Order: sequence, then structure tokens, then C-alpha cells
Amino acid sequence: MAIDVKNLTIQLNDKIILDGVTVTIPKGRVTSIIGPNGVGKSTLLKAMGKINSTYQGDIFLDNVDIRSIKRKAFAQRLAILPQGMQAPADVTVRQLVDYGRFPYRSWFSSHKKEDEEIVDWAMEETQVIDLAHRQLVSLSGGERQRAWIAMALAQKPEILLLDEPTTYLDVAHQLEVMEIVTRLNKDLGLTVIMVLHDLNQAVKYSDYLVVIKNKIVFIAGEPRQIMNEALLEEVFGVRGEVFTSRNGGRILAPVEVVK
Amino acid sequence: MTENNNKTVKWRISLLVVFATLAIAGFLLSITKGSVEIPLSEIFGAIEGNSSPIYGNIFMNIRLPRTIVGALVGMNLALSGAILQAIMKNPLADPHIIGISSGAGLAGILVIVLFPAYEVFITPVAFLGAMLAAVCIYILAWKNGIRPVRIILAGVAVSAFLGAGISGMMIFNSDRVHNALMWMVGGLSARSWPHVAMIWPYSLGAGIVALLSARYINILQLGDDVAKGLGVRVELTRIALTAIAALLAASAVSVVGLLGFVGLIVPHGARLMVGSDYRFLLPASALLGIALVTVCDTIARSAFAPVELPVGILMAAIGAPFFLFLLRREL
Repeated sequence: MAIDVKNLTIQLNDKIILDGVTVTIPKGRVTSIIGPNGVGKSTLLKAMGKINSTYQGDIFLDNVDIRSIKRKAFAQRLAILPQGMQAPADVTVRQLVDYGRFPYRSWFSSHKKEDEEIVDWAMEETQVIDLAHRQLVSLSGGERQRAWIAMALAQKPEILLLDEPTTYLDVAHQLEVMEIVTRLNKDLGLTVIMVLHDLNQAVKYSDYLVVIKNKIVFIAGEPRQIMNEALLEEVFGVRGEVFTSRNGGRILAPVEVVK
Repeated sequence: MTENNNKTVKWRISLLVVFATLAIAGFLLSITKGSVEIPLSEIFGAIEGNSSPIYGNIFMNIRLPRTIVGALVGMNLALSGAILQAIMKNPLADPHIIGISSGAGLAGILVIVLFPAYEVFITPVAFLGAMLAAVCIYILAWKNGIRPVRIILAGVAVSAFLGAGISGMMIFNSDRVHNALMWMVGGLSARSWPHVAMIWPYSLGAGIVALLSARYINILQLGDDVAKGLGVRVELTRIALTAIAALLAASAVSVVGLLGFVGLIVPHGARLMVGSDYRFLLPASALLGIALVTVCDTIARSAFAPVELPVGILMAAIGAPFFLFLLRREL
């Protein structure tokens, strides 16, 4: 198991966001966390990524409490891309991806040949190598997202956490990002955990779904087994239909809000 | 592709060479020009110990220490401003605006006015004042993270509060107002070896740490969450860097007074030229800081001779319009 969350309770500003979440994320698979707005999906992701460390309960990475792992050592195993990332206007793609090597550097160490190679490799994997010397501000949203994923990849992680990687992208760029993510999972065996907004994308691209509702895990399992009309209605409050497509995948068609 | 990258790195390095040349030129200008002009040949003579006694005396006891103080002050304030702009996520942060200077200022004036016998301790006391002001502002602006607007507002409030203390102190001790006022304007007049001794350890120590921190500052510019994800202990790093910035600003301010705007102008100018990569921006700021203060001080003391203008007045006269220019451009 990649990540084990046990009885996780998180409070922000006296408000309980998550209340006793227990879930196990499978290794080497693509897992999506879904649920209505404001149920603490990002909060859960940030806790797993050691960005937010004020919680009750435990989170284990390969059976080791993540609180006992040093930040840099942790960053060599797990990369997280939160929402709303920003960088100074003149940062180039290559420079950004190079920041992904930060966890491997100490105060005095200089650039190593190995770092250069890994940065090149990461940019090739996410198809931004041709944009290496462009400034981030000059890129489209999809290109920029791919550059950030390359940075995360340069950390050489076993686990990649993404918070709504497709939000604000047009549909072609959304699918492009999803395809890169699933390819990284297949080719490198990277465990991917993302928060996704689009249910159809979550169903199509993930092996495992974690559905959050009312501060707890409502249900978790493979999309085909858990995604149905009843779940749509109970969790998201919409009536809709769930079709099975020609290749056996599920397609959701929300129709109306449950009054 | 790599060629292109090398070119920009080469370009930035050559800019640093230009800035270093400017810093050296400013330094030389400052030791040669003034009410008495010292030819360069006499300066080399003085270094070897065989110049004419008048020149040698002026050079060794007046010009050289004053120029060194000016250079170190310029460097410290510029580095301090550059660091604060990054860690406060605020392009308009500088030691003056966010209250570090007024913290050091109030503490310094306390010493000047109430305990004039202990003026040797002015640097550590001013340092404490700066740290207290920085911590206050940090606490006041903290609410689930740092917001630039809150930093500015908290800084203005704290500065106003400390300013009231400064004014009150001067009103109740009007016999010492002149000293306090000269100190508040910020000038290099009559600064000599004791002042060099006060400032250089801070410049050296904090300066080295600041330059070594460039990589951490670069990561912090990506935002707190990304920085944590990359393995930076964000709060600890920010507190440590705030302490370094405060140390740099306090050492400068405690020696020359509340010299304004160096910490704002210089990092911004440097950023426009070398970009936001702090591995280049920090040395560029330090060198430009040296150049700006030494040149401005030379102008301030020779342009209106025999009246000597405190360099702080000239700086503010240049700095205020530049600040307004930035406001128009960036906000």
C-alpha cells in the first residue's frame, strides 16, 4: 500500500474539515479523490503531501508515519502540485524543472551532470523539452501545467499528488494532461493521487476512486463498482444517468438537481 | 537550446561584472572627490605609506573609512530589501516600509537621547529594535499565511506607532534634537573607523549567509505550498531570513541613521536587469547598493559645498519619485 490514512481529523480555524477519514491508497495505481465542493478533498491531499501537518490521526507512507520523515527525504519520494501555483514572471521552463532537484541538494552542492540529465528526461516525459527556454508567462495554460508536472517529476518521486490539474484548461489540454499522467503511471509505475472536479475524467482515468462526503470517506473502490446513479444522487445531489460505453467504461450524464 | 541558456547566464554574469566595475568606480570616486581632491597617485602612495602627510591624513582618517561605511551600508540595505521582497511576497517591501528601520530608529534614538554615554551599544540595541518591529509586523500580518496587503498595512501601523515614540522622545528632550534629527535623516558625515568596526562583522556574516540562501529564496518565490512540497521548512526559513534581513538593515541603520529607499530602489533596479533568480539578484543588489550609496554620498558632500547634504536627503529625493513610478507600473 502506498499511503495509509488512519482516523484523520483536521480542523482549520475551529472548523472541522475532515472527521475521522480512514482510507488506503493502492500503490502503482491512479487514484482520484472526488466529492462536492468544500468537503476537504484538497485538505486531505495536502495532509498526505505533508504540506499541512496539523492534524489528528496518522498518515503512513509504506507503513512509516510521515511525521517522522524529514521534509527533504519526503520530497524525494513524494511530489505534490497544489492549486494556484505561481512563479516569478521571468522563470523559464528549464529553471522551474530544475527547482525539482532541490530536495537532492545541500547548502553548498553545485549543479551536477546527473541533475541536468534528470531535468532533460522530465521535460521529455511531459513534452515541454521544446519549450525549455521559454518563460512560464509566455506559455498556454496546458503547457504551463505540463511544465509544473515536469518539475514534480524531476523530484524522482514514487508518488505524485495533483490538486485539480485540469481546472481552467480547455478540453483538449485537459485530456492531454490526463493522458500524460496516466502514461507516467503505466511507464514508470508512478502512484498518482489527484483531486478531480470532472467526474467523467475521474471515472475514465482512475483505477480507484475515493469519494468524500460529510467530512468522511463515503465510499472507495474501483470506478466500475462504485459509480452509479445512486452515488450521483446521494453524494452530488444530481439525478442523472450512467451509461456503459462500447469499451466498457462508464459515462455519467447529470440531468437535474435533486430538489 | 543549451546555447541560448548559456547566453542568458553569460549575459547575467557580464552584467554582474559591469555592476562590480560600477561599485569599484563609485568607491574610487568617493575617496578621491570632495572638498579636497586627492589624486589617485597619492592614494596608491598612501597605501604604500609614502604620500604627502595632508593627503595621507585625509585619506586614511576621513575618506577611506567614510567610503567603506557607505559601501557596506549600501550593500546591507540592498540585500535586506531584496530578501524582504521575496520572503514577504511583496515587491514593495523594504526595511523602511515594513518598519524594521523605524524599529531600529526608535531604539537608536532611545540610546542617543536617554543614554548618550552608551552610544557604543547603539548597533546591538538598534538590532533588537529592528527584530522586535519585524516580529510584531509578522505576528500582526499572520492569519493562515502572509498576505502582502496585510504586511504593508501592519508595517504602516507599526511604523506610525514607533514614529510617535520617536517624535515624543525628541519633544521631551529638545536639547538633543539635532543629533537625533541628523541620525534620522541618515548621513555619512563624520563616519570613521569606529563605525566601520560596528558594521563590518554584520555585513560579512549576514551577507555571506544571505548569498548562500539564494537557492532557498528562489524556491520560496514559488509559494509556501510548493516550497514545502520541495522539502523547504518554510516557516523556519522565513523566520531565519527575516532575522538576516533585520540584522543587515539594523547594522546599516544603526550606523548611518534611517537611510531610506536604498532597500527598495536597488533590488528593483537589479531585478529589472538580471531577473528574479536570486543567485544573480543578490550579488547584483549588493554591488549596485555599494555603487549607489558611494556615488550619492560623493554628490551630496561636494555638489553644494561648503554645505554638506546628508546622503539620506538625496536618496529620498531620488527614491520617492522612483517609488511612485513603481506604484504606477505594478499596481
